[in-house]
Amino acid sequence: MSRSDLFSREYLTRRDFLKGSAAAAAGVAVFGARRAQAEETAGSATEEPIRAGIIGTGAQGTFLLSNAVKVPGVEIVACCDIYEPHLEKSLILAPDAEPYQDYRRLLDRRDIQAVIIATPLHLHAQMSIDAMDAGKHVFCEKMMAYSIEQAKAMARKQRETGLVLQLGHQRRVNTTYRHAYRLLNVDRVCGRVTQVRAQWHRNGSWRRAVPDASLEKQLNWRLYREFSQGLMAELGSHQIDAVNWFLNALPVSVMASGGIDYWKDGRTVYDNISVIYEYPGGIRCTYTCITTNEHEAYYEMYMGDEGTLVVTPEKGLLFREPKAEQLVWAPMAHRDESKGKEAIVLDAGATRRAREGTGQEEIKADASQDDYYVELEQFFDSVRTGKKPASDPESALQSCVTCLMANHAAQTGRKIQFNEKMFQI
Amino acid sequence: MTGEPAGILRFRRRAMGCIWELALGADQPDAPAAAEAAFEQVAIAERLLSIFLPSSDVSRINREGASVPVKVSPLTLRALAHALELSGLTRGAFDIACGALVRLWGFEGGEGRLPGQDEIAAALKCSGSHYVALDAAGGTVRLLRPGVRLNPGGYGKGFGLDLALEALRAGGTASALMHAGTSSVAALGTDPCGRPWRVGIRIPCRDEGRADELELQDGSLSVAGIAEQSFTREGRRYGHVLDPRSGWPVEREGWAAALCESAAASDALATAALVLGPEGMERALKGRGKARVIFYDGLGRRLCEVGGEPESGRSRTESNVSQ
Repeated sequence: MSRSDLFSREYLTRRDFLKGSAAAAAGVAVFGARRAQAEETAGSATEEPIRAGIIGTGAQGTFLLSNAVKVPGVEIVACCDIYEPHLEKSLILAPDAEPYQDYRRLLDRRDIQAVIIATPLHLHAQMSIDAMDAGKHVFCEKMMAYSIEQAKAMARKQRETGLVLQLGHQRRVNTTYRHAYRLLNVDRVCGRVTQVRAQWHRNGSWRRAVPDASLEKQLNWRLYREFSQGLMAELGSHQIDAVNWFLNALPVSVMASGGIDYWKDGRTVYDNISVIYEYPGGIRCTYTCITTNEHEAYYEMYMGDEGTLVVTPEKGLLFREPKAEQLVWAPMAHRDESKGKEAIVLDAGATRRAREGTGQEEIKADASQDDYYVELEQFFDSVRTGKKPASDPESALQSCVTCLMANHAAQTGRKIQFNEKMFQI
Repeated sequence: MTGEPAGILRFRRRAMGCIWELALGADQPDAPAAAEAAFEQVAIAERLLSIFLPSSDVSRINREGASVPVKVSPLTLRALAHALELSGLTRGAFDIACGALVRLWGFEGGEGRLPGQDEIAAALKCSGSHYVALDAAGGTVRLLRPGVRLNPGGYGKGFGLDLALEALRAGGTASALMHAGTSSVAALGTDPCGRPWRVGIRIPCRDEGRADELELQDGSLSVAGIAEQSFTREGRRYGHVLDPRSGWPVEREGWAAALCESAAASDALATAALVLGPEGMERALKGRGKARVIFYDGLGRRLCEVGGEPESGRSRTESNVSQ
């Protein structure tokens, strides 16, 4: 780094940083850690690194990339985006990667075993199928695909090739969710669940800044029906996937209402939607996604005759009904005040350990990693071992169908009945 | 932010334990989206560097870095490389690897405590940038001694500002002013009227008004002083700015304001200035171009200014940070 760079913002963007002698002269120890790491990380000395590429390096893609470069034993060797500034940005994160603007050229590379796909929704299916046809394992961002047919084609291609196809529903790897799932289904801390309420509320246009009007649809693709399935796909699918998972069920019907009522800026997807799902056994789930108020932001709330479980990726809270017996382990759990009512905080692992007194906990409590990192680590582990990922094509297809039918119900104003065939690959 | 011209939109967000504000020209198209992009960068900086988030790169380095090389985001590597260079420049007066001391004194999010000299001696043995090894090729960071901890105080907020301003600039914003909890402020371009942004320096004991007013254009300003955060034991006041070389809080009364383009650098320089004082700072900045530091006494009166040499061929009036 030259002398004046130290005081300018250039340190953020220089591609050759730390090369040369400047860093060493300033007292920074630079050493060859590659070898040290290989020696110290069990097994890695004998295993070839997985060579991977990323297709789509916009906001979500670069975020995935910034986590992918941290996974041990993985080399990001190719980055692809049709938009030059996004491609440039990805090369800062993965300086050794080869840039591509045509994803098919990236797929032509025989040394690449796996790809991460983070492109607009309407491209997920084509790119995933092309990648699997080229023999690559695929991590594809959620929602699975733009249409049910496309999602099924992806799942069929995965079955046909036997490659890993993992979707980006990262709540499936979140330790709070995994712990909450057990509390709800194994320990039955809410008793019999009768209602679910979930929301993702934001206060903002959901637009990205566009340097040039001609790039509007390319950069703000989420706002246009031809590329996007709107709020249900981009936000709702995370949570609806969790509801299907937590209830161990698929919905039987859906009613919905949505509109473009506030952000009248040319967008063609709803800026708000309210949905009622009916699950077997008369369990109803109301879901809202809005862009004009962020009070209580996002959560899923499971209401049972003995308690209420509120889950977010950051924190889970359990409220017991006054009539319910105190849980054996409750006094040992962390407590928190929420809305003037005492709640038990889900410290993943801790409550269950306290109850069983065994120190054994199947779900390892690890709050020390981003969910994005964990899901990618799991993906590359699946590539190595063939293990089934937590967000697999079957469950992702179910979430996709569940969300798309809510949009369909809102658009047609009809109550939609689900049938088994819809969810079948 | 002072002297605010008409037609400014303000956006506020809480991050890194304080309120951040961003001012954009009201005529800028898509100002809310630009603000969103800027705050997203601040959130990224927090996710990478915060010692309060167990999943941040810095927390992971602090937990595991002494036993294994920790793979981190390339952005974290850049930040650390930059911080280590600033540490070298200030001869350790600013030091990102003095977390053991900060923790010992109870300044890691706590109220402050008075440690014994033996504890300080032990923490000093685990402090210093020379214990931090970066491997740019492998993308890893290692701590060369157990007990060494990184603490990005005096750097992280500035880094967040730098990332945010880069995002704004890349998105086509020509005019913006952003501050992080009022201790650091960074300007992109001029205000919407084409004049340099005017920034006031307020000092707690001068409730009646500002101690000084400076102009910023494509530059950053950070202010440090010990009066705002300190604790008292046995009649003696201990400020939150530690001298990483002695292990004791800086006793210097007064304030330092550092100006240069990068907010991360100005953040670090302001902290270092309190430690080094005017003479030491002058030596550190000699031959280093436009970066400069203004020292104020406890009442906010200007004492002196160091650094800020014009680069060859450029006069002081062309300097990007002008008074």
